[in-house]
Amino acid sequence: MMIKAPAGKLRDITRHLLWLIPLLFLVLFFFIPLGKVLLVMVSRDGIVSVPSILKPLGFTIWQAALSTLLTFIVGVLAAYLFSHFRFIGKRSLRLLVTLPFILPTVVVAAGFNALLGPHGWLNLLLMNVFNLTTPPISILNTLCVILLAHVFYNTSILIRVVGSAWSALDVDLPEAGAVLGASPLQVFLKVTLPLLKPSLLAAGLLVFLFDFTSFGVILLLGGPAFSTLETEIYTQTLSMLNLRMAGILSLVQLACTLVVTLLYARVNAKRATTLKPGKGIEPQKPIGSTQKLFIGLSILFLILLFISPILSLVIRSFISFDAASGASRLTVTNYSGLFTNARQSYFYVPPVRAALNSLGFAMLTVALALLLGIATAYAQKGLPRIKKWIDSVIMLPLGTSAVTLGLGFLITFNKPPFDVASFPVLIPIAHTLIAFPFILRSVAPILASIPHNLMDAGSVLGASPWRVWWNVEAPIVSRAALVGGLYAFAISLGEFGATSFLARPDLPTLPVAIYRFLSQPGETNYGQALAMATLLLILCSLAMALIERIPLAGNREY
Amino acid sequence: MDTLKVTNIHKDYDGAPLLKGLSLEVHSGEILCLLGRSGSGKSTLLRIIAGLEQPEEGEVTWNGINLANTPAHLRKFGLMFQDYALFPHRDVAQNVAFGLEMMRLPKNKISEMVKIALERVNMGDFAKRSVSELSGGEQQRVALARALAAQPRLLMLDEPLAALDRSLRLELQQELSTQLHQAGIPVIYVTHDQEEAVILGDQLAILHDGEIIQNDSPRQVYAAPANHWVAEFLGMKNFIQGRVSSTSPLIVTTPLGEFEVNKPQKAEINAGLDVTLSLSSENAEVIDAIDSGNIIRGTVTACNFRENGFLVTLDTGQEIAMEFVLQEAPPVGSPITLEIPPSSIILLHN
Repeated sequence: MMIKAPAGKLRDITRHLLWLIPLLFLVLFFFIPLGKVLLVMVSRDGIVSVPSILKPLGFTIWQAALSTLLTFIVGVLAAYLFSHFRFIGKRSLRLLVTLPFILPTVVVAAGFNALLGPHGWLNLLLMNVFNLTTPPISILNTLCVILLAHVFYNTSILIRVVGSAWSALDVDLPEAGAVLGASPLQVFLKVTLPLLKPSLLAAGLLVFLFDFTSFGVILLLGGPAFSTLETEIYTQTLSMLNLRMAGILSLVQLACTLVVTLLYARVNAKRATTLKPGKGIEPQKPIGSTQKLFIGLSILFLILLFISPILSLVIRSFISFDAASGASRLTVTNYSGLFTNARQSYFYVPPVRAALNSLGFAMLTVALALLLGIATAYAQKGLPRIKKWIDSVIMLPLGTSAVTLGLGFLITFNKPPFDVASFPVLIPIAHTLIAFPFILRSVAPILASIPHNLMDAGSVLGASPWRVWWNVEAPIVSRAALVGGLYAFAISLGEFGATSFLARPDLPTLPVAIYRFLSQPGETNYGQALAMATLLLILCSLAMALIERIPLAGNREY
Repeated sequence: MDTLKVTNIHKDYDGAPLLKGLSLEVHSGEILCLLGRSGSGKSTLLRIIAGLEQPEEGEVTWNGINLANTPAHLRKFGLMFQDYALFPHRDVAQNVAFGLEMMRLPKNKISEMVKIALERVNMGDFAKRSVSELSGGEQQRVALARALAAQPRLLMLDEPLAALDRSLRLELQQELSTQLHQAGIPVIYVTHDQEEAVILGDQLAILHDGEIIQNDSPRQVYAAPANHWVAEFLGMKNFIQGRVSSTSPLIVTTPLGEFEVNKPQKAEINAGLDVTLSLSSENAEVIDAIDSGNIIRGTVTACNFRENGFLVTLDTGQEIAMEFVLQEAPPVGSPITLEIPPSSIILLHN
């Protein structure tokens, strides 16, 4: 018979108490606001018509489906390239193609604007060369640029999900097919494709989900002509002040994402069971001129697609364009202007303030998310039985659209001192909801993977439990926490959806300021928006580069 | 009568030569066991024959027709992979049906043939099972059924029993031998296990250092190993260097004295030839009188019980100790004299 030591009992109580931290936080800042959003439909007045729901819903599905299809074409090509071939610069290209995934939407929007917009780099160049008075390319505010940005964003998902499944595919299987008489095409259709099907499905659903809930890209690149559920919630709330309509749209949005998320969870579970580790594909150098040509063209295409918006953003931020003379020159005025209050107006906030706000909010987010993430990870370790159940509850905020979250905060916290106007900490709190699952996913597997005998070895060698924790567990966990913290930092810096509801006019974050500057006319505003986007790009890339440099056991797929 | 012929195959692996001019031949109804250490290139040779890899040099011919431009899926050669490579997205019957589907046979014909193929390997009840539910032995049977159902004109098996435990392996060896002979096609069976090769093979081809160094019947390989390496690989022991001093009777002079040896059938032997002798550990007899030849003298350094007697280790003053199986246990540390009959000595060329 086992006799429980008093110390063990104490530990059990602590573990139950640990649960309370994430649970209380979620109830207060997720479930109550979400409930309020649903309640608002009944409690508030407002004009609601079925066509005004169906129109944005229809367009949301249409653009998401189209984006997913296009992402598949680019993504499967990239996944094939990365899983099957060795070539010079593969690592860098891979990094380049996965970089967009962590880039804030405003940066991507600014990048495409800097490349293809009316003041964009390409238009300036063409106008200069052909002596035109109006920009020849007008792709901004079309469906085309929305699709392009979505492909840019989500190709990395296909590379991660499909590429890793493809390279892990047991090489014997296609060969077994060939020996049994299957031609290369038949091998692909009858062996490779069915084996990749779960991964393709999972990636497709994930991409669809992201395209479905896309907010910044539609708002900044699509312009007023296109409204999806997300942008419509935003407009109804902040411009039309029709909270009832916003609430209904949120419900529709929530229902759709829930269905897709559930489907994804099912497919993903199946994927995990069918993918058994075998001898993976060893990437080969391309052989023969057809293969070399194919690979060369693919690499060129990927570089063009992925580097040009980023590069345009950086280059264009150093160019000043004089509309009157049509001349453009290299300059740093876009950057020096960030520090001055050019308009001398009371409501104008110098961009450098926005940058400092963003940094402050990001630090707060990291602290909060670390506390929450690590507490949850330890609680999970202590109570593995209810882990699965709690796990899905904690991941719920991830599946909820940021705009709905912002709306919920706006409605729930409406009385001083805890209202949006007087309590700016709501911003890092909203960011924490989005960021802390990332910390949990970094820390929990590491914590679970620390073998018990490592701790036992420490104890047997004469260390007290506290010393064991300090010398064995803490160094391992802190590295995972650092990775998660960097993710939280980058997420907070770039978050736009929820922040656009919560940022006070005099206390904007960088993304909010970029959006404001981009939507105002004038070369100075445009240039400064690009300069800020470049700064944001650099900060996020730095966080990503640090994450890449930290060696971490276990998987890093999110 | 079909013949597969492999001539002068060269193949590099990671920049180093792996196969260096390998040649072999196998005919209908014959099982050729390709025997060699792991990493010797056995699997690579099978992949080259199957058309999954191209050799740097050399050719593979089927009844005299060069297969260099025939891709794997048109060769109609079966290959059973070491870990079976069953398709996880298909059930047992669908796995077996794969090759038949590729032949575009009508559906009812396919299901009929699948049924027969599964029954032949005693897996008739498993048709609807998922392959992930099968044990190692069951997977092996399904893989064999899948390979044979496609009606290959040649079958290659890459260590088909290596993943199984010993008792199951012995049981399946017999079963496999019957199945393979029934198929009546040329069979190449790769293994690193000498015992398995002897049980299954009509011919043994021993692969060493990128070449087939001996290709004979199992009996002949054991009676006359091609060289010292082969003898050691087959598990032979008690090697002594010597020189032929007379040819009839065949006498070899060694540092341990003179030994009379039975004359090998094929080889040509002249006086003065440097050779190596391998003394069988099994038929040594303890004697008192010191006779003329075929005698080993030494000190007993260890004596351990074995199922067929006592394994006695002798220090004979040579670098490497010798081992003999005796029916009585001699005391450790005592001197001992053994007589080795000429029939228990194998002469090896250097």
